[in-house]
Amino acid sequence: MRIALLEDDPSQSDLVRFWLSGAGHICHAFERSREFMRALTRDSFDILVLDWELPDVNGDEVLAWLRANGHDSVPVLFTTARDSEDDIVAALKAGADDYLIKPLRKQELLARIDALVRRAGRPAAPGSGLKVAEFEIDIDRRVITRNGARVDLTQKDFDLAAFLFRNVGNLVSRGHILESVWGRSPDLNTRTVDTHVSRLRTKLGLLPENGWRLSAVYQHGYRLERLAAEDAETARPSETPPKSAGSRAPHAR
Amino acid sequence: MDNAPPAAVRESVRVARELSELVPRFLAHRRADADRLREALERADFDTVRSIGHAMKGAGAGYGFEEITTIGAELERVARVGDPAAGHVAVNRLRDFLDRVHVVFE
Repeated sequence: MRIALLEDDPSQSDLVRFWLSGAGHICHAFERSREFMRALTRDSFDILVLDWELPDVNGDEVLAWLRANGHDSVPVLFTTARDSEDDIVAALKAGADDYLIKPLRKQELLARIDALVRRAGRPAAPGSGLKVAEFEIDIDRRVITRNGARVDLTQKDFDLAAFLFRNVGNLVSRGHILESVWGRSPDLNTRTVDTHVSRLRTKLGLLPENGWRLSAVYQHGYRLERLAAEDAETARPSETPPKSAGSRAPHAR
Repeated sequence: MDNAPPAAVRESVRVARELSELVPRFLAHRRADADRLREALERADFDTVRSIGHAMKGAGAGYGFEEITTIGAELERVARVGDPAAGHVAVNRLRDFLDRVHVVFE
């Protein structure tokens, strides 16, 4: 998972980043809320871990900003040394998905993160298959089928497809795609993502006439979305005349 | 750690081996905290005392140093009631702990 951590205390940040990276996550740490919010306007993450008490803008205000600015599908885990019942209730009411009281414990933190991601419908681990409309993605066998027919993909194209299907409807940044599929590699750039996305669009038929749109969003990334039936119908190249409302289905006699 | 205090006075703390690279930096930060706390108490700046105490309370036991979390909580309390004398006692306790701590990685 790609995780954004907002934490101003260097010791706490060191520890959480160490635990997360040791568990195979990629963690981007921010010490200041404004810097964090700026990053969120151009980048995306699988989960956000927020401290409450921060020097510039407090975590609860950051949370309100997130929920008001289109980041409502990203799970938020609040971590704070505040331990009163009122504080916990306030954070959950403000839109946090979960709450951990510091001092943090490694295994509990990792388990909570996994649980949040699972509840958000973004299964991370092998053994968790996905079915999205006509596509079935078998993570263990690394196989994708469309309407039951296997689609031949390279390893990277499979990883990219699995990532995009886990994020249907969400705008994901090129950086998010790059790190999630290729990992942190200095040799790669975001053009790699563009090339693979284009190829995947063709191989999987992720086109409006098939009820899908995989669109590039300027200066940000990509969004894979399922189109409403009427949008797909409009986009479909018509060799036969469009059906009229009255001729949709034969009546039983 | 190499510069361990004499056995008679040291306080051994068992810490996960995987944290061996992070712990020296953590303890260095706490030594710096002790200096900042003393200065803050001298000018009755309880906001700073509370903020440092809050961070110590949050991080200490995560590294395995329960004593740091306890002292952090005490500093938060001191700041809430505005008691500089109790603040100096807590800072002395922090310094004493940092002088005596002997980390055993396991």
